[in-house]
Amino acid sequence: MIEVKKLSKQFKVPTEKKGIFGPKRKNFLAVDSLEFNLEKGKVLSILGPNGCGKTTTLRMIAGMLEPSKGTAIIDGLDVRKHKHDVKSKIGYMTNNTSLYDRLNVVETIKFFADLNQIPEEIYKPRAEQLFEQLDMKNYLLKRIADLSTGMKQKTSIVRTLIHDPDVVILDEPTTGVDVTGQSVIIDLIKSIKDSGKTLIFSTHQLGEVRDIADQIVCMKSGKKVFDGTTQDFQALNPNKNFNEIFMELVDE
Amino acid sequence: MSKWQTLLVKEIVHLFRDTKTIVQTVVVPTFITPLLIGAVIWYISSIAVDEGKKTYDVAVYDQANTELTIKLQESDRLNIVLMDSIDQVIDDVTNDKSEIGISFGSDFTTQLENNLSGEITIYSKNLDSFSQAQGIVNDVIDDYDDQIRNERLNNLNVDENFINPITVLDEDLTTNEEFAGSIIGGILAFLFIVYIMSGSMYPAIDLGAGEKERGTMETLISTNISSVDIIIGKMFSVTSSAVLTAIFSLLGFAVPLIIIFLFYGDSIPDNAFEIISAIVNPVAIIAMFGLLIPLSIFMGAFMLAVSIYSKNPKEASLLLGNAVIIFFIPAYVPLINPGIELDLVGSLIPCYSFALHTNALIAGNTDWFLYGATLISNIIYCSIAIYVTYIMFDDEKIIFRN
Repeated sequence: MIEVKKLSKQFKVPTEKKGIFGPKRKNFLAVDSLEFNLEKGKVLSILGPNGCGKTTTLRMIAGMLEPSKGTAIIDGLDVRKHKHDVKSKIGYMTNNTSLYDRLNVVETIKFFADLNQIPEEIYKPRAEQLFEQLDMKNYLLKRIADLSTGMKQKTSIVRTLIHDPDVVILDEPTTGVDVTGQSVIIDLIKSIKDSGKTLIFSTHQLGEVRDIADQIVCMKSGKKVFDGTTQDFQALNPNKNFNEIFMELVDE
Repeated sequence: MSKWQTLLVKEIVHLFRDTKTIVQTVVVPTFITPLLIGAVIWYISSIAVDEGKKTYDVAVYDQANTELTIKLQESDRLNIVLMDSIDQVIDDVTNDKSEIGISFGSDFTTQLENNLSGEITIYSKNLDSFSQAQGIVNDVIDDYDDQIRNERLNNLNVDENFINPITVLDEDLTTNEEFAGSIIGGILAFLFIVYIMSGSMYPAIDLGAGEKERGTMETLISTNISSVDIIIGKMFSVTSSAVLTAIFSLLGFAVPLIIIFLFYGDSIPDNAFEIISAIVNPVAIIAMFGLLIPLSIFMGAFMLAVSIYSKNPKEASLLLGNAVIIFFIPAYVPLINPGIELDLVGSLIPCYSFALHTNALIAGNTDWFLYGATLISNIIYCSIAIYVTYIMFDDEKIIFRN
């Protein structure tokens, strides 16, 4: 169960006014009192235009950013008080394929397994299963720098799942991946869902949302503009598709 | 393995798979720098050898055709060109037609005959430090000066010692160890500091600002690894690279020396062996590394802190490029002033104290109280730098500054 309670994040951002030490800064509320609950084993999709606060929200839930106000409770653990315990329960994938270029696929996965202190006897079968599932066997010894974007994305997913987290957070997992790669990733997300894990993902692909998500949170300028099931989302306007409903919600 | 060890192994593998790291850590200090220094020494020696064989043109204005001009003409290294006026002499030297110009006072001969002092003006450009022309001319003049003086003393039936009441004998008691310490110790310490700086700068930029730019820092902090583990893992990677660079630089100088000793040992002066054995003194080497390790960690942590603060590698390079002066200048001072002595205040200045301790360790006159002060201060600086790096790493405004 994930409970997000009045979660807010304020940043200082540069303005156009110049000061002695560079541009003057002003407060910017990236996430404003966001609230939602997500039941264990359910899939939540966070939608919103660029800069609406999706990534900031995901980073706060994952314990990477300290909330300015409010908090998130992950399986009973307050992210403000138990950051490291929360991190061990979560598998977080960033919105770019951020991996170490000069390591190969196996070394990368082993590194993250070791960071999570997974015993060898658990690591091996789990890694093999994920490599098999994502059809990665042919390039396990290739360095990350030599992989295509899709291959890197798959490697990122495996490193996110290697410690078998209870909660998986994927920030725009299909961005930059070709159609075939997208289909593989969506199948994997479905299998994560089937395995009973709780999953939160942000995306701009409304088709993915309709197929996978149980719940949708739509954000605009840091605020929640919709929270409900996919059926509730469709019910906002039964004559329109997800894209059109989304555009209406965010006024774009 | 603990988490920081896991990170350390990963960072070292990742760093040393980069050609830039190999070039900076191994190739440049082991091969390129010794080759460059060798080439410069060879070039300078060849110029000095050429100068030793050269004949110099000397423009002379001497209306009276004095005996001194004849003596200058007798030197096989001088080609005397007689001029008609002082202006011609000046013009010749100014236009680099002659290396040296000499003009004799119109009453030069008369003055000497009257037991007075004759005047000579020497014109030269003091830009060519290799030129031996002025030295040769001065030797001829000094010999002639001695000859005239002795003639005058003989005429007066006065012993030469009459005008030299005190005879000063110079006895240089500098030991080979002290000589090695003052000259080679300063150079060695300076090179160590330069290599530690260059050896830690690229890894610090890569593991800090580089990771922020590539997004791998975000991936790393999303995992259940503490900031302390990240700092320790990264800092030891940077320090390992710095120490390796310093060791390879030492090898780069040691290997050619060993080759010279093995193949040309007979032609090397005896005291050269003693000077080298002063450097290769186990106590000196251990004590030097005792100071070098906390200094490397301090410099590595400092660079890592600056790199983590930076938005991207470009900003990190700019900031570190300026910041290294903090280490560079204190190391440079003892190099240009080999006789400088360390005091308590100096022993607390990083790099400066290391350079002077290196001199003293090789010379065998280390003040162990000051050595202890330096060691403790370096450990304190090291701890402060690690703490600052930790604060930087724990601050999301800095980590997500880009």
